[in-house]
Amino acid sequence: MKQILRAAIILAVALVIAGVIYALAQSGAADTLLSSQGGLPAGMLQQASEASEGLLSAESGARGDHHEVGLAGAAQMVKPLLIMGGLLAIGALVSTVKHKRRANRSQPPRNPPAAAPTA
Amino acid sequence: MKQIPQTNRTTQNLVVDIGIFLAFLVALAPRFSGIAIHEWLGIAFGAAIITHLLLHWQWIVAVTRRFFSATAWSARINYMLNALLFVAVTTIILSGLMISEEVLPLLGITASHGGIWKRLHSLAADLTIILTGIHLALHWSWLVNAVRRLIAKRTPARQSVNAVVTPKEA
Repeated sequence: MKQILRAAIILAVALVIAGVIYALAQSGAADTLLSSQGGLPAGMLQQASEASEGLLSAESGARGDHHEVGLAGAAQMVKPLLIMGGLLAIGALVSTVKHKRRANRSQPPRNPPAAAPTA
Repeated sequence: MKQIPQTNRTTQNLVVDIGIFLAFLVALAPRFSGIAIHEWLGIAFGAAIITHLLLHWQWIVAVTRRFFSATAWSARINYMLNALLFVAVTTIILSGLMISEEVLPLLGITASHGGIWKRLHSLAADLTIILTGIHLALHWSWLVNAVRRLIAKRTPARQSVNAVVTPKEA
């Protein structure tokens, strides 16, 4: 019962977000936002992936034909995997450095300072 | 409610997360799967995300309560990133439904093809790839520990089986 209630809360939040996005899209605000954005153009990764696969034909336009199915399409997964792999590598590196630092901090010094001479 | 041991919970989380990751990868390549599988997988992905959130409900509630008070900055960043990821996934599913060519027509609903929804779908997918990468990177140590624990749990079990089997065979 508790789980159902929680799932309903998640769904409700998702519906609110969806409603806001729908309203934005219908009002044309999203269109203005997307056309004026200076950052990542929509579908840049997918387009780049398609272009690199050589699957784009001049007639089929920028996005190619989605209905073509086959193993060649698996190459579409390469680009996102590379990006995720890169980000993961950064994460792994940061985590390794953190662990090493923590380990170094918790280790006792190799040469303990000599006892102060007594008078 | 029956308490699940920590190791079992970790394994359960790991299995669900690996499943979501693989589904996401396949969904990213509609040419590989075909448009029908792409769309159904997208809907199933939404259900999988709800399961993922339910499994981490305690963390969500705890950080939401402490967000503006005493909590680590790493938890805050993690929370904001996850919220952004949730918005991006919701956008993907909504825009995907709006440009649906297989699922919605099957239910007798005609969706609008192209235009703003197609661009939103692509943009949200791109954003989700980047955010998923960061999400994975932030949980890298958990992932490594969970896999290690799983391997360690399996190895002694196998060794003990061998130890029992060997004298009988001899």
